[in-house]
Amino acid sequence: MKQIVLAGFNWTHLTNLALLLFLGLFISMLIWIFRKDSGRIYKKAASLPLMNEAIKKEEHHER
Amino acid sequence: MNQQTEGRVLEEFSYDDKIVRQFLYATLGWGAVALLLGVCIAFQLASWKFNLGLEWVTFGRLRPLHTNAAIFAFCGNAIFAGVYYSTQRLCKARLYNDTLSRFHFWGWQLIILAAAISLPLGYSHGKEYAELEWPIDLAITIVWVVFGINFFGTLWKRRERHIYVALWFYIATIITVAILHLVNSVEIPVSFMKSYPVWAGAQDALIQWWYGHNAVAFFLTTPFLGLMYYFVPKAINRPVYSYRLSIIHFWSLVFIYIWAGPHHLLYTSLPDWAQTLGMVFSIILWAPSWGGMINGLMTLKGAWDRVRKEPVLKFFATSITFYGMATFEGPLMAIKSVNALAHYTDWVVGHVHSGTIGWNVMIISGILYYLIPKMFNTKLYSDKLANFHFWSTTVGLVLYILSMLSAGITQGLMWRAIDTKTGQLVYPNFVETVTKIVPMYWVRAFGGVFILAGFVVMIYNLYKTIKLAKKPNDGEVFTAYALDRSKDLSKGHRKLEGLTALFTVLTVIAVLIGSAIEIMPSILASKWIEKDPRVKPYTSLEIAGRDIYIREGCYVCHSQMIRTMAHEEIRYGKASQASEFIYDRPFQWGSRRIGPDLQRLGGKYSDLWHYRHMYDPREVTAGSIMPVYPWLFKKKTDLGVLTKKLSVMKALGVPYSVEEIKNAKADALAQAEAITKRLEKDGVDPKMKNKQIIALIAYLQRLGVDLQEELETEEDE
Repeated sequence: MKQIVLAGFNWTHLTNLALLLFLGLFISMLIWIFRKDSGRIYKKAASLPLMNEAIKKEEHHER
Repeated sequence: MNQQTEGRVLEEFSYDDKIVRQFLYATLGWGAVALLLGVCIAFQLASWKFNLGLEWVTFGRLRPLHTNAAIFAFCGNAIFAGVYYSTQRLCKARLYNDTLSRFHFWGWQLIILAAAISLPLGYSHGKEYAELEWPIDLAITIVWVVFGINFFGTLWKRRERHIYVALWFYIATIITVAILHLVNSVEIPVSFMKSYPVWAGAQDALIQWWYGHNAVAFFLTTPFLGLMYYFVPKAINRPVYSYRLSIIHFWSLVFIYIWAGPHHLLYTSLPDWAQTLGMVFSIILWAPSWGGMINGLMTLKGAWDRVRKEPVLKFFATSITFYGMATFEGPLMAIKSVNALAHYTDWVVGHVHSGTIGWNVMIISGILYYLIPKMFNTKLYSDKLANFHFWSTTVGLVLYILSMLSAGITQGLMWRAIDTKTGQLVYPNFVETVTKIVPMYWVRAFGGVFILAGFVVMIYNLYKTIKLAKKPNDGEVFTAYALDRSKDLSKGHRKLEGLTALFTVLTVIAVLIGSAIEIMPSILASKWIEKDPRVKPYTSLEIAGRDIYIREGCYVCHSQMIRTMAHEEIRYGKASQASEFIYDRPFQWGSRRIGPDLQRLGGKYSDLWHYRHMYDPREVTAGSIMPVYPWLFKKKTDLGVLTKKLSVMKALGVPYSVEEIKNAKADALAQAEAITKRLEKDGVDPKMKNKQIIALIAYLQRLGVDLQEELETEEDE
């Protein structure tokens, strides 16, 4: 049955297409994240959980 | 009250931490239940007597309850608690709507309760991790949509422009789980708690494992990675090691994970190219998984002295390490030659638990130890007890993994052992391969006791922490500037991260590309599955018997899929063909062989053999660990519903004639009488004809017989 299936099925290039798609995405992402001036942005973004999530009302008044 | 400063509005708000606490308490409660169930079923495998001869607590019914409780009740509640806590902080905003939050909480608990009642009663869809019947499926959809609205609503009203990486993982989780659940649960109801899936046979198998694999990916992995990216930096008070790596990690994982589902179906009657695709993408998964693990562990760099002392960090470090080990082992097991040995064995069970216990339970424990003292503005009651919990879980887990690895490899090797001189199986009697690993089942069960004991100690520790603390920090008012939506302050990915809708759409596209290609064979099933005229639909009594087979969870121990391997063909008969399953709704290929494959069981034994086997398996198979099923000999088969069942099947494309549907009950009775007459010669009471055991025998004797003649001819040749 496998032979019958493979004979009638012409989608084997999908595996290559999938690999190309992934490689394309991966390389694009690599180029993208190392773009100029991105370091500063990512440094700030990475510190988001550590920033005082929001300032308590009384602390704000003290400031 | 809001103030206006230099054109920017300073807003006051408070967090909804009550809902977080509710989900945390639910996590603790359901976690204990899930682990207790796990220990119970582990002992049931070590000794069949622990099944107690009661239908509601038999292994086939409790095992789905254990998996559902662990995944959806325990991990689900932990996800919601962590997501709601971190999202509010990262967005500097209260959850979108308090009523939706409450609806979400109580809705989810009711769903779990419904599962806890319906699964032991035998209401099961018969598909792993998707066993819940259609009314509960519907409720899950509604509650998940409410969760989505509440989450995206919070993103919408956020006061922080950047959407932190943890939130991306939450977005991917919400969207993908919705897609998986909707596609896999397309079903037509027969009655209040019974339905048949639209998908059938190989098509159903592929969609189920696309769902099953990605339930692990998008319910047990991505949300917890999001939680890792939030709670690990918080606990150690330093930013994530590499934000760049987190971006690569996110997009690679979301894009690749969805492709890997077919590795659950290697050597089956799925097209070869789909199997290869699943295997290749599973191996590629090593990269993003380890990228995430490295990012998590490296965040702890320079603070290993604290990891030794602080329970929270100890749990986080161990969970990330186990994530790395489990995601190394997974792709390894997806390599076809390794999978040939590992599939259907306990190695897979060990692998799954290195992920669920090592990764999920450990990280959840770390989050609980971090959050509860923080929310009550106090310190943990006892670090010593937390350390006991840590070591108890670690020792239990090592016992679990090693015993299952050992059992899996032992059994896998015994199955495939062929005597080179005679060409026969070295262990032709399947039960030999089971009794050999029973000692490992005892080790696993006691490993489970260690894990459960540690969890109970954590509950006590956290209870004392809460009891000795003052009131929780509810009602604190915070201030933050409103997001200035009029200005476009950002560019590129940073801009993208600010656009929730676009970001979500891109995530959906990433998920859908893999899904579309992976389930392509299903969509094209009618083309590649050649219909075989010899394969006939089940008779009405066989349908009734099949539903009993599903109700009793036989699929959790028996497969119905003979792989294309020499030793399997010698043991079970010719390898399964896709055309044989076109009327199987749901498919019952199974994923573990605690008992032998049943694909070609029909006609192998007499009706009496099955009758005695179901009453007491040890009467006919010495050493069997199968439970007894005395209730099948007392309960009557519901013949009244058969007309409806056949009508639904016909609506789904099964070629039943109008007469067959009309006479469903009479035909079933006639077939039952014929079986009972054969049994009568051996002293079985003729009154048994309306009992469920007869319907089950009808189904078991039908398995694989359609192609029997051809197979016998081939054997003769």
